[in-house]
Amino acid sequence: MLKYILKRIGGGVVTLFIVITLSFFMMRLAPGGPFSKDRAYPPEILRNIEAKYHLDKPLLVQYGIYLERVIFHFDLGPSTRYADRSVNELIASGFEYSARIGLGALIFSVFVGLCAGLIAALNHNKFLDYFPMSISMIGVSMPDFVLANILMLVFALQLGWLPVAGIDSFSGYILPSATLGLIFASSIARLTRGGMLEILGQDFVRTARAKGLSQRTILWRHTLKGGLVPVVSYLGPAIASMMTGSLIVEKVFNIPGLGRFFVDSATNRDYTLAMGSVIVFAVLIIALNIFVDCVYGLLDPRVTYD
Amino acid sequence: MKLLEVKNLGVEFHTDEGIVRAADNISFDLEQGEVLGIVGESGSGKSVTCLAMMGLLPMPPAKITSGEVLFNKRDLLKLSEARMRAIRGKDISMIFQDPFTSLNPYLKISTQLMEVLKTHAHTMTYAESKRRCIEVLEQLGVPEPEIRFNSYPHQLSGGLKQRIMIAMSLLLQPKILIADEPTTALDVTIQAQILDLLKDINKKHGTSIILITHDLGVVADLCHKIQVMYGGRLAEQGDVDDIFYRTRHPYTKGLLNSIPSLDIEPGSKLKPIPGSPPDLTALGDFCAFSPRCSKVQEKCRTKRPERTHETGQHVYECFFPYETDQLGNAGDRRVGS
Repeated sequence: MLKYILKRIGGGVVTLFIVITLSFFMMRLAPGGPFSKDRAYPPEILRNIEAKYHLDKPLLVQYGIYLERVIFHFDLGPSTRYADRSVNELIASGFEYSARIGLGALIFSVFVGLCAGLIAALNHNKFLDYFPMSISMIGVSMPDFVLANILMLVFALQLGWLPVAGIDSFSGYILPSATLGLIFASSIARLTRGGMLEILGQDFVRTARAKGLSQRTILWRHTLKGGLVPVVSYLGPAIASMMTGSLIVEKVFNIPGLGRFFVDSATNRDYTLAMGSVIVFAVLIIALNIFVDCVYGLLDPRVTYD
Repeated sequence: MKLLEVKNLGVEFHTDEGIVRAADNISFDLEQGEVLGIVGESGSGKSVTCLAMMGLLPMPPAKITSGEVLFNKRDLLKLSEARMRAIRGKDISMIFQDPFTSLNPYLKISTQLMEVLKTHAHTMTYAESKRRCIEVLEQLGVPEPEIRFNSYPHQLSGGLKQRIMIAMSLLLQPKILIADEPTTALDVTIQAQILDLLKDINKKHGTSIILITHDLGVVADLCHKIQVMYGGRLAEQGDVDDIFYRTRHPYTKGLLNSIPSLDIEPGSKLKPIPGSPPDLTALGDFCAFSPRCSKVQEKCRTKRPERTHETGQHVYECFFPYETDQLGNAGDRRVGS
């Protein structure tokens, strides 16, 4: 098991390296740069600025400098857009909020999704199957900016239970977490239902019933583990995207999270910040996928790690 | 005393293609210590009959339309789910065709064995339960039972898995063991071992067994009574000699003739029953076997034969049965193990 994890981490480092390299060069291929503005800087000033950010050196040298900084100092460099602020600082400040909302969304989506999926599977082809599944269909297909505004209208403006925007207090996290969570909850509900229905139709469930076990024991002991395998594999990448923030949700609820950096840095050609966002996202995805693969082993004894 | 009495059991499945009468007016009984073989091809209603008795059919689409199943003078079909649960796995237990899918791959053998005792024998301590499990595994010839006890199903062979299934059903010494094609998924040597095991269980503990199979050769050696089913209906029923030596129904005769034997000439072909199994949605008021029967007459296609009772327990449903008093009839060859 330890050997397997080490092997996976090794593979992850290679993947990360490839991601860094590809995105570094692809970004430089795009026309323009961080300091190309409508109104051009005087050439002397531009030279000075470029020298400060090593942009005057050959591309391969820049790549070398960047790699050295990231690998040996865990330093993602200074932002070219936000003067005097390092990318590490910027990402840390944004991640704090995005991670809180992401955690809220995770708890919300897993709880709601699992409950809805289980209820639907246990009431296959009855009202309690159709009802939650229709709702989840809406959840899957509704864009997040529509959902965010509906929730805001109902719970903040009409009922006045929760603040409209901002995160000055705990209650401010509820609506953004719920918006993000509902979207993922819909997928989790459908996956839970599918996984459980498949397991409930297996021969060993009939064996369990023939032994005289109660419905509850059969559900918890015999079917839950196998039924949740598809949900677990979905949760790996899903957690990564919940944690790294959604631009829309952050814009609608006015939250200084990570999401805006992803988009803004790309449009501004803020090379270092864009690279930093990519690295954070890649690390999360790789780590969560390794974690998910280890959880498989806990769920299904037939999975071996050789 | 009769341990189990099934009277006029009827089961229907409501499907998109129509109503399937999977078991139609099925009756049989089982004495203490008796082995009953239920024989028939796929879809003849063997398994459905037993699953209905155990309350294990998914309803819907299944629906029990008639009959009663008397066990200890109680009608199992009328018991609440909670009371039925107390009987399942304790008084009547069941083993299934495919040991590869009938054991839960996610749980250790120990969990799957122990939960039977935990459910039905509340007073047993953990140590007592474990000892009982190991003891039964040992009795069933499971090598190194302590190690198997702590294994997962995928670490065991098919034959071992079926032994585990049987052990699971015997932990509480049930009065009736229903074995639904217990050897179909296993290779021939293992089949023989499992059948010997069932015979042993019957002899040593006096456990009554209902053995569901499509192989008449299997039942001859093991069963006291045989019930032949066709298209969800009873074809013929009787003790082993009735079925093998005083065969009345053409379908039983066809089954007997299709068993390969050592006496026949090398190179000669097997004698199958022509045609294919009936479409259960299209069965009406006529003999279900008539389209494939060699003795069929007009009457068979327009009327359903009554149940004819002969001497003893011998029963059949046929207008034109084989005569049995002639010498050299169906009984000229004994099929055994």
